[in-house]
Amino acid sequence: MPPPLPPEVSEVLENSLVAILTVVNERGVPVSHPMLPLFDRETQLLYFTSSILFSKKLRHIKRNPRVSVLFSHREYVRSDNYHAVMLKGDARVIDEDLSSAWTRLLGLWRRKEPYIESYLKQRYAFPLFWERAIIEVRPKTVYVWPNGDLGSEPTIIRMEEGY
Amino acid sequence: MLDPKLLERFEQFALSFIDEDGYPASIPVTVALIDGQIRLKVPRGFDPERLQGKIANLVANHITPLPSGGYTDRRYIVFRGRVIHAEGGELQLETFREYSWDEHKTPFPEYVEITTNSARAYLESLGKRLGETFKPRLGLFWSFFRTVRLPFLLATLGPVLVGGGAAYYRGYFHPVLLLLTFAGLALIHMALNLANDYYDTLLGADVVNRRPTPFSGGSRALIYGLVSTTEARILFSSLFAAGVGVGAYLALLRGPLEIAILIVSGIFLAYFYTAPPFKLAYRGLGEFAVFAGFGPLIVLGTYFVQAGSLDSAALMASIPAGLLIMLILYVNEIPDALFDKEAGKRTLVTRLSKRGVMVLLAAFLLLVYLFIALIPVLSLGPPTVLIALTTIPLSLRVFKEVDRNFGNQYAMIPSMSLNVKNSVVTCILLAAGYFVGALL
Repeated sequence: MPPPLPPEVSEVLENSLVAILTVVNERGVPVSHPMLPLFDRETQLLYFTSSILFSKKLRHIKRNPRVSVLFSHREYVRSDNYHAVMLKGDARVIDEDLSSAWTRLLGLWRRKEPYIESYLKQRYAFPLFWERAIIEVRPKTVYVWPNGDLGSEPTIIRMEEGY
Repeated sequence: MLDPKLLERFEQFALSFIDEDGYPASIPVTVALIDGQIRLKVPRGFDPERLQGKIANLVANHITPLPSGGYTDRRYIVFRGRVIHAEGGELQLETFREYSWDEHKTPFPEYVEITTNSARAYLESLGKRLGETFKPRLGLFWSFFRTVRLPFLLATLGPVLVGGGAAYYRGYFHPVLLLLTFAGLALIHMALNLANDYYDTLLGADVVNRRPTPFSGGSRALIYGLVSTTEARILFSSLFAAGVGVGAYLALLRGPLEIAILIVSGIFLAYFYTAPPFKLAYRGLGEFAVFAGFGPLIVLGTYFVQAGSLDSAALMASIPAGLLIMLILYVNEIPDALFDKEAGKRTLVTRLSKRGVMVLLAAFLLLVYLFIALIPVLSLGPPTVLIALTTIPLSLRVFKEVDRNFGNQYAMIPSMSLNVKNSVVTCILLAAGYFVGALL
């Protein structure tokens, strides 16, 4: 297991409401999706849940697991400390149990969106929306622009090599 | 030429491209629009030369978090193009594709409907891969709740109570038979709802409807894959059969001929409301079918089971009851009208202008109260039925709300809810008027 990300980077990942997930389509072209990121500090893995209503990205990842994730919007990071972070990594889609496997991430989800419970109670209203695959991203290379200063050189962390 | 206003609605931008290591990269960029062209300033660590000639996406995203939870103003826009050199050593994105979503233009529930086929295809391919059949899992109760539209049974309860009340006023009351009557009619009503969904899906009316609401556009059980067409057919046939079974039992107890006539008429209206060859709802006859089915047939049927005979008082009571339940359908047709027209489902609402629809709504509401007022005047019921007139202010609110939100599917949800409440409450008050009148 690689060493954990620096705490200040983990803080950004844990407290971001939106991240841009970029996948590669069948023609080798990047496709980007704004999504809610869920970072598990214990496993150092980044998760997204994707409804099968918006399943193109799942097909793309299955074909090509290389992805990147960008956290660069100060307003969407609910933390006093902010750094712009972009990570490249390998993703996998977990979709054998679309109905309930993603609920294991509810703890992380609730921390960011506590009102999610009220939406869950209305699951019958949008049954397909709540059939969700998990996208698990294992960070490989992480670029950090301290304090979001894009004019400075980013710190590059290669997870396999340590830092 | 790019419209500058498009970019002004976003604060931050990201550029995504395939990096030298074969991984996609997303970097925050500063964007300026010069002579209609997108100029890019990339952060340190990414040499502009590295991006030159690459196909890239410029992504802008916006959400406004709400203090109460959730978000509003959700929108994103993506420009896809090739990164080229511009004057002054800057980079430019030569765009060739653009796509976006703005919830003010396509509300999220509509977005969900548009992508339903994609979800169904995903479930199908997953099923093939894993050798199982996948469908959205809601649990038995919620699947049933949604598939047969359980809350709509209030539309059966109201007229049953009116029929029961009219009989009670005449001195007949068999509570067990009243419960059995309701049970039988509820089974037929659930069958009607599902048969309606089944044929509206086959005939396309529910398929083309991109803006269903909890009150309109069908249950979506077939469209979402909660039940297959075969399961739906088996379920609605079984419900019809069970309803007929209860009816047959009541017929044996109270009078085979009259109840048989009422059941056959009711099943005919319920099934052919949507089913070919009659497709009553598609020919502008659905409203009449609902009036006749939920008014005279249910009220007279309930009265007959209680009294063992028919009565002009019951017939009189059935008219406002039928109109009230028909009004639920009538108002619920308004948000569907656009899509019903597209599918060739020519409901009454699709045949009228907005003014025509509203005039008819006012006329129906007026008729409801006129018939209620006539009941004691014609000595066909106690004066206590006039308690149902207390909903007149609610009816006025229904009229104003429907008029205000006319045609806007999602904005009409509270108006439809209010209309259902008005119809059911008026029906129940009418029934209560008979019960109370008998006791005084």
